[in-house]
Amino acid sequence: MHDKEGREGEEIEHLVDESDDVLGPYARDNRDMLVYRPTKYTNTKIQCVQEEQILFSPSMDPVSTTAKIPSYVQPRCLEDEGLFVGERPWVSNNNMNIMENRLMADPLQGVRWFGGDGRILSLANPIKPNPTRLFTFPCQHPDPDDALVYRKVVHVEHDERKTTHASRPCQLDVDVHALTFFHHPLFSREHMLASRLQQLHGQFEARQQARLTAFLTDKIHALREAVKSITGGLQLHSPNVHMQQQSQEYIHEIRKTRSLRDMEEQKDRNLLKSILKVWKEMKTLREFQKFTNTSLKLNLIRKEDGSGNREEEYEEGICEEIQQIHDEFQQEYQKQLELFHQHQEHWKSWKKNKRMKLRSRQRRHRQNQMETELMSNEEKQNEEEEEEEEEQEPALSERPSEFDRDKAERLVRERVSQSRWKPGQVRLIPQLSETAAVTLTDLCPRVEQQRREELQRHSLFVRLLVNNKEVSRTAGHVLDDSFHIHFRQIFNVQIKHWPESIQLQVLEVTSRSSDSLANLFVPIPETSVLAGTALMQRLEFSSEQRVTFEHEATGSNIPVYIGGDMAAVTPLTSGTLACSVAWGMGADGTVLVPDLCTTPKDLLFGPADAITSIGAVGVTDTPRLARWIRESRLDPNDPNNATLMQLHMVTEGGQMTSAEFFRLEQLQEEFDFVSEEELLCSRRLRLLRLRNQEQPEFRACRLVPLMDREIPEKVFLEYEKRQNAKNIVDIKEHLIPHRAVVAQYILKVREEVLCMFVEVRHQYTLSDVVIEEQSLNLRMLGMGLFTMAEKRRPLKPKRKERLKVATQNLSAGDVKLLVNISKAYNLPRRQNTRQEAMSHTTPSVLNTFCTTPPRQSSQGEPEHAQDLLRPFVEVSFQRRTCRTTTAHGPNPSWHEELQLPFRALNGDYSSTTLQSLRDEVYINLFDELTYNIQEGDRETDGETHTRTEKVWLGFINIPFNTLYLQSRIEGTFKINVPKVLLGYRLEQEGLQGFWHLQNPCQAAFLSVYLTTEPLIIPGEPVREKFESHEESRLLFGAEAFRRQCHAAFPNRRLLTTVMDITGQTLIVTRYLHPLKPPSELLEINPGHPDSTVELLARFISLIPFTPDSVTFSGICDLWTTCDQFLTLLCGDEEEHSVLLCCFFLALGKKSWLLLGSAIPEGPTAYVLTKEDDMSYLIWNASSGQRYQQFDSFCPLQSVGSLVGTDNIWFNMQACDSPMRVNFDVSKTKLWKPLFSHSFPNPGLGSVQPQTLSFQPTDRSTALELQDRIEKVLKEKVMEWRPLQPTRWNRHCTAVLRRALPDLEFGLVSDSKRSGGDLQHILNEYQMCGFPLQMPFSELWPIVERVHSTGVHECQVPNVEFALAVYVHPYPSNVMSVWVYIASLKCLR
Amino acid sequence: MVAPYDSLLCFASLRSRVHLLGRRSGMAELHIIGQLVSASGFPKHSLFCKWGIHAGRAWKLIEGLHEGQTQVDNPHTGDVAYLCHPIDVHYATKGLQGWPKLHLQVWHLDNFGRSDLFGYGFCHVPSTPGCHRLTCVTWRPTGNWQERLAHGFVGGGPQLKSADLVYGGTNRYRLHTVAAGQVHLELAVVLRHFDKYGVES
Repeated sequence: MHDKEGREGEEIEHLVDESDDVLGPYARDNRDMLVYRPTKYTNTKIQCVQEEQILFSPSMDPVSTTAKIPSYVQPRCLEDEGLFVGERPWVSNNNMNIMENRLMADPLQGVRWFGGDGRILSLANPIKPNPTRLFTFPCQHPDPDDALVYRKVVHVEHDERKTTHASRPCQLDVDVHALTFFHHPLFSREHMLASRLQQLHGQFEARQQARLTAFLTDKIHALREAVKSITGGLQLHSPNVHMQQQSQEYIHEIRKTRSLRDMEEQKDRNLLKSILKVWKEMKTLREFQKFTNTSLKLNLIRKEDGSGNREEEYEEGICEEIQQIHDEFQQEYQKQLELFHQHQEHWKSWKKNKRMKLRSRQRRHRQNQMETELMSNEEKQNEEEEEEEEEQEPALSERPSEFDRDKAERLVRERVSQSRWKPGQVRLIPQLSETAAVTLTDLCPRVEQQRREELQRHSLFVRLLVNNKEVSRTAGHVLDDSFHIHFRQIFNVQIKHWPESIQLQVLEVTSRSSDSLANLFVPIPETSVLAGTALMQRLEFSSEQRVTFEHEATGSNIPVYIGGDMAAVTPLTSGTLACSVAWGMGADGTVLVPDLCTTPKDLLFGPADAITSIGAVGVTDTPRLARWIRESRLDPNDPNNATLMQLHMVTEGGQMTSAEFFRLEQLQEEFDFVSEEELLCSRRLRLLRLRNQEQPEFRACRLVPLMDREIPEKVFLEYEKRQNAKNIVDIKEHLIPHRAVVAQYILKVREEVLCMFVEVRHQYTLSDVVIEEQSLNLRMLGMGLFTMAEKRRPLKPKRKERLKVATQNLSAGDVKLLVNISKAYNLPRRQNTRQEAMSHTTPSVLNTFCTTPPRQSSQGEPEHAQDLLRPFVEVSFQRRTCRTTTAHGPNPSWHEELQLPFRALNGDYSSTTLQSLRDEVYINLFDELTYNIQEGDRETDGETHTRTEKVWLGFINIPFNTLYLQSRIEGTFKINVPKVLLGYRLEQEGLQGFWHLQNPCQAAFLSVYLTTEPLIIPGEPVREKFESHEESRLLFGAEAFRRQCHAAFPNRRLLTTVMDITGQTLIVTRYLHPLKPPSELLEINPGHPDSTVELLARFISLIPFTPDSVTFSGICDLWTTCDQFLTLLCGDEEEHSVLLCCFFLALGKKSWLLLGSAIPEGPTAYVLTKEDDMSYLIWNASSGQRYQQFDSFCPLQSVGSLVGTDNIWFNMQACDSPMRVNFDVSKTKLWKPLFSHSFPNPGLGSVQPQTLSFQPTDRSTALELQDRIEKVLKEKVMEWRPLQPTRWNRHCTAVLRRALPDLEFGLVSDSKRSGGDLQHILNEYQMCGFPLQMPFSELWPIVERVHSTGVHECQVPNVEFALAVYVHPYPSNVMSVWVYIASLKCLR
Repeated sequence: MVAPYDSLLCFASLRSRVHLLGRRSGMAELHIIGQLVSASGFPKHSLFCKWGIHAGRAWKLIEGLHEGQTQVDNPHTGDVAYLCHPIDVHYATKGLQGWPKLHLQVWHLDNFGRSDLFGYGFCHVPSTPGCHRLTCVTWRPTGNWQERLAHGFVGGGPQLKSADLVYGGTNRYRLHTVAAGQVHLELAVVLRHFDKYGVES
């Protein structure tokens, strides 16, 4: 322990020693290596002296100009010489002097810094007036104000009316200022002269103001100076090529400018001359006709030449010109002389050569004689050619003549005297004034008086059309003697989209007529053209209309002689209209320009580059512009021309790219995987996008292949075809051009509506998203208890709830159409035997048809002769048919269920597609006939061969769309029995008891039940949230009314507001307005109001019926006005009913629009009229049928509301069946009105036109259509019978064709005319056929109808067919189509 | 994935190669599937979120909504508002530039039915395929002292005039902001055909 301590102590000591040794020498010696010194200091005086040796401080005194430029050169003034001198950057004079002195200190190089004007060479001020770089805020002072906006917390209220995107209105200010005529038919001769004088004077004034001559003279002076200075320099210095060239260029320039100047001066003089001439003519004319028409007067002011040295200058100019001509001539002469010498030399040498050759040839000739045989032909030829060449003697040019100074001078003087003012000559300055007294009208001759009177009758106004629609017109202004009209009207046109065209029509109104003088298209202004800054444009117009007058007026476009010796001139009506178009400014200073996205494409990508920046809008011909820049020798230093020069340089570089784009993302292209085009080529991308856009072809497509190659190109074919077809009106498909255009229009409207709906559909309200279950209340609880306590009634049939399937879960093959046929009433009966028929004596067509039995067979009697009828029902849907078993008798019952498969278009089962399906369910009723065929003696064998045939009795058609929207249809329907059914008769006697009482009319009925399996739930109709022009008070009132009524009777139909074709919401009553029916129809049965009314109903029923859900893709119910309806020629129940109601109102009938529900249509609109005998009639406008109020077979099931011209009434009665409804709307307890004392009708106007115009339909079109339908139908019938030959009986066809017009006429008028005789045909043939009548819309419904009758299915050998078509034209292109189809079997 | 932003030359050569072999290959596609899960850390509850995806011009939206608004979530406990808003977008592209970015605005719906801005935020859509949990932090402009005072008592506050500023960086330095809460996202990214254009994924 001790040891340890001792050792440790030693160690420490040792360490201390060592450290001393190591640091010792350094610690001791560092003072030896350092030395302390004081700070170095030089005396200021010495330093100044030293510095002065090195430094030079220039003085601030100005340097004399002579010192700065070489002594032999005169100081120049560049600006006076016409060269462009930019503004120098500002430097203070002191600094400038210092700088100059400093430069002058260098004796050798200093002078180089100065220009010819003795100032320092400098570029123009490079500082631009406007900053080109954005000013950025320094970081220390962030100003968040321009990025942020303070917003209060706001309570957001959803205004449903604001959800549609109404673009803000924009304003176009059109200023129609004044109209000036250059010529007008009512101009007198004097006026013509005056107008010409004014024009000439205007030109003269403009020229005087432009002072072109003076400018060009100055330019010549400047150029001359420049040449002088250059030539002076040339003499002193060694000749410089560049300078020489420059002087040459200047001289050339002088010559050009001079000729230009002379030309301009000559023009001035000519103008003056012609002014004087016209004025003289005018004076003589005034004297000649002894009256004055215009107040124009020309004063000539003499002006002495002010400057004294003009003569000198004039002479100098001439001398110089001669000198220049001389110089040029000399140059040319030198050249010519040289050429001449050359020629001479050439000629001399040629002569010499010739001589030599001649000699050598002679020598050769001698040789040749010895070896002629050896020489080949070729050589010979060569030689000959040589000789020929030689023989061409070079032409000797004449020696050029010397310069003839006198001749040149004479020429120059002659020319100059023609074009220029002589010095000292008195100048005349014409001045126009309107001081001449116009002769009073009374003092004028008769013809002139007439002219002035005529003038009073003419007035002019200007009509403004935007997009070919009249927007406004100016007030009319009467023409006066000056033929100058100040309109001074500014129109503010409110627009929403970029206008397509702005047009100003100048119209002249006289007492007799009004006609358009001119149509002026005003260019649509750039977005930068604003009201207030827009320049007035003068638009010239002229018209070639020929106008002649009896009196003094000159007329238009006819030759007129003015003055004595003048040639005839043919003046055309012409003039200018001063106007301007600009974009308006809002109150808050915003520019009311439509959004750029609505501007046409070319405007958007217009040339936004140098050309527009210089104000040359619309310059597109860049090469020409470049040429102009080159030729006009713009001063390249002038900053005003900088953009142009830049453009020029770009053009020179060969890349004239008027920038078509602005690159927002640089280097984007370099980083791209593929180009835009390649990407768009990708089929997968295209398919995905089209599917996303919900294009109808791709809507159903669910899975898209992953690879491009798995997508066939033909997928898009259909889509592309549709896109292409959009703009092509296909006449073939629609048979009538008008319909084709209409179809096109409907497509367009439909697309627009679709677009609107896509937007609306994606806007959800809370109720769309959240379904709140009603909470259980006491009443529901009580009801539940009540049902539990109810008596059990096991025999009472109950409807089983079927499975409901939403449309999106459907796929092909799932859906079936179920048709339950229960029974039929009062079917047509077979007529008795033929013998009976023959006994009939009435020869009328109708009777003849009725009395011929169809089952008359030569072979034998039908089996069941006693049977009145063996009917069965066949249902056909989408070309598939299904039939019931055969029943017996005219009132059969089947109770059978038929199933038909249903397939949707493209396999798309979405609700929009299903709604727009146009397939129809045809329920056809047939009579089955059975024949025994007895061939030879077979009967004895006990074998019987029977042949069954079916005869079509009638049909019911129900559109699938109706079925879909109602999900089931149940009821008793009237069967459409053809007007003429051969061998059958509808009997009234057959009805017994109740039916007889209730149903006085002749008709057959069928009870059916239709539904789909599984039950398809139709999609919810889209709520209509559209903008409206109606007052909001009205809209709210209507909405409140609707809600109240709906609460009372939720199932009754009520419409207060509807949408028109542009998507605006309107109150329904606006649609009812008396409209006069076409006079053609009123004239047919003048004395019979009843039949006239029926005829009108028939006319309207002939307008094709298309449900809105089909037309507008099942989106909504659009109401068209009557004129739109008649143009479109298609519409649903509402349009038909509205038109019928309007007609009835015009005829003075009391009528209402009845909204309710009916079978099979579901919710529908009928027309209710009050007859004179206080009974009510219910009209189905789309079928043209009318029903008594107490008709038990009336399809109308429920009466919801009535719409009159001024009010809407809702049915508040306990029952809504039409039979039990009291139609007296004055009883407010029974009928709740919309407008009452507390909520009065504000006097709503009608949206209908004041009158409807009906174009008479061309009969030839109808005939053409008739032929085409017939041809198509015949082809189709042959197509449907692929196995048997189809023979057409031409004789029968002709007879039928004659018979058809009578049928139409029989319907139209009461008088029954007898037609052609079918009797002998019926004697020879057994005929089975009937006429079909339908409105004309398109071809396929006709084909479909004919197919559904099944006449073509006749399998009997040797059967013949007859088919006749008749198209009856009604006004406004409404057509009634009759098709008579029959099969004929030979009786013999 | 390597995005060759740095070397233009390298990319140019690459691109020419792609042009040779890529003519037949399909377009590059990007699926973004996921949800906007929740928002947390905000001073008050009852939040909703407006969101949007911004992509460059080279990108084409094929299907799906690229912007939307969530419902309002008012949690009873905790400070996390669960929104669980689905995001399902499908893009096709011709280039890498302008890779989709997600921008968000968190709003607060107060007891009076007023809505008030609580924060802006943005994040890039991940470029690696697979599932990603993202947290997007948000910020809010402050304004001057009066505005701050008003914000404290009656709500409201400065908002960006144009929402582009949220995902564009140019003028952001001029703003004074305070931090707000976070938004949590879950995104699944599916890429297709990017490898054919020389982008490793």
